Amino acid sequence: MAVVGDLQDMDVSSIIAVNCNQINQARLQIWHRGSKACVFFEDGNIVHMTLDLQEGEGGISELLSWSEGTFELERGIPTPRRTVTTGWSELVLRGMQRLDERSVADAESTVGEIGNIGPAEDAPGGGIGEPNKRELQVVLGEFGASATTIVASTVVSMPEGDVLAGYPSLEANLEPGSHLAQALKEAEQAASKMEWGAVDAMTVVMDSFTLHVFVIADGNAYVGVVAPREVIPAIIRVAFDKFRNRLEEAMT
Amino acid sequence: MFINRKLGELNLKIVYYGPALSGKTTNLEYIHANVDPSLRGELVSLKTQEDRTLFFDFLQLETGRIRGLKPKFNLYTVPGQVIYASTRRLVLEGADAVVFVADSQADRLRDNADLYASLATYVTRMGRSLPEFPVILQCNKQDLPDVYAPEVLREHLCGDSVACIGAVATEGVGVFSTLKMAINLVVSRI
Repeated sequence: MAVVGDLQDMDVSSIIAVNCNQINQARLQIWHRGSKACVFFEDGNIVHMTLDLQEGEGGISELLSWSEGTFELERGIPTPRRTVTTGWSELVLRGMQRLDERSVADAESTVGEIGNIGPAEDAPGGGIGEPNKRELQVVLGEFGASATTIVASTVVSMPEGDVLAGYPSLEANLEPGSHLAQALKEAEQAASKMEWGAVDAMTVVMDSFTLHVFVIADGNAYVGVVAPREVIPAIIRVAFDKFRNRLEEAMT
Repeated sequence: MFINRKLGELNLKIVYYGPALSGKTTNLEYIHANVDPSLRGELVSLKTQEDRTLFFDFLQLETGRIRGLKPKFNLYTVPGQVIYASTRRLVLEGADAVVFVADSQADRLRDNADLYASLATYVTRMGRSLPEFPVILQCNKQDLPDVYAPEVLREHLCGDSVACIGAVATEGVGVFSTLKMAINLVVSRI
């Protein structure tokens, strides 16, 4: 009887690890956005795989990148042939390394595309009073890469709540941007009423992560930085301050 | 931890984690070279952009059987460079203990702190908490000038709840002591 599941519940690398560790003879089929992969396990290793029309271990990186889709695992199905000879640990690690390297290359090549979204489209260098989204994205990328403590970061306009740049991806930060802009606005109003001066930063502590919010560009934007809760705020502040001036410049 | 009933083995995973060029590879190469060849697997080396990822397994017979199973330790290093985040996460999955190999040189403190914090991130994402996760801190390169003493470096990175040991991995100093500490830590939790 086949086991059927969703990749959001169990990812590809975990399915491979379990079947190889258990020395299962099995066939794994995965469907992802119109593509189909088939992996055969025997003797504690992957012995054959196909990804659409491609045969052999060349498709492993692509397969590991599939984070959504469905799978079906059927035990006792013998492999029709052998096209994979690399041990499963090495195969999966090599595939994941290539995926990491490809992600960096993709991020660098999409900087230009992101820079062309929105009001800055007609002024790639950043017109007067318009944020230079391309530069913001570049600086945010360098900031994120400078410290592995940074899980995600985003630049959001105030008071609109529009996401101007995001790390590691623009899309991942769209949803909370406007909510935080609203929260920051409330904090500014509260500080104003108390005559405590302008809000410079705000910290939201959650179960596992802490969100550090830094106000830039005279209150016209903020930078949200997500880090593990264990990381002391001073480390994030020091890391951020190294990039503050460039972000400020890119906002004008 | 993974039980392989077909082979009667208890597979335990120890991951050597730390910033690039801190000595993770040197540790694993030294261990592999000094373990009985009949008890060890092949040392697999994957080249990354600046260093290498290594792994191999070996049967640890000195500890005896654990619940009737032969303990087999799988040792891994992670690539320390920032870009290999997904690979580090993958290697850490299912780890029974982590040896954090820190570069004791004062000017590498920031790199050590970054990677230690990233370890906290991955452990948290795995649904576990770093203070409860079995970690050994190896303060490597103690023979170089301008280095932190192990206790001082531990204070900077993780507090005194983590066991720490000084090492000079290039000479094998502290390498097996670290491994034994990690093995004892893993076995004590089974």
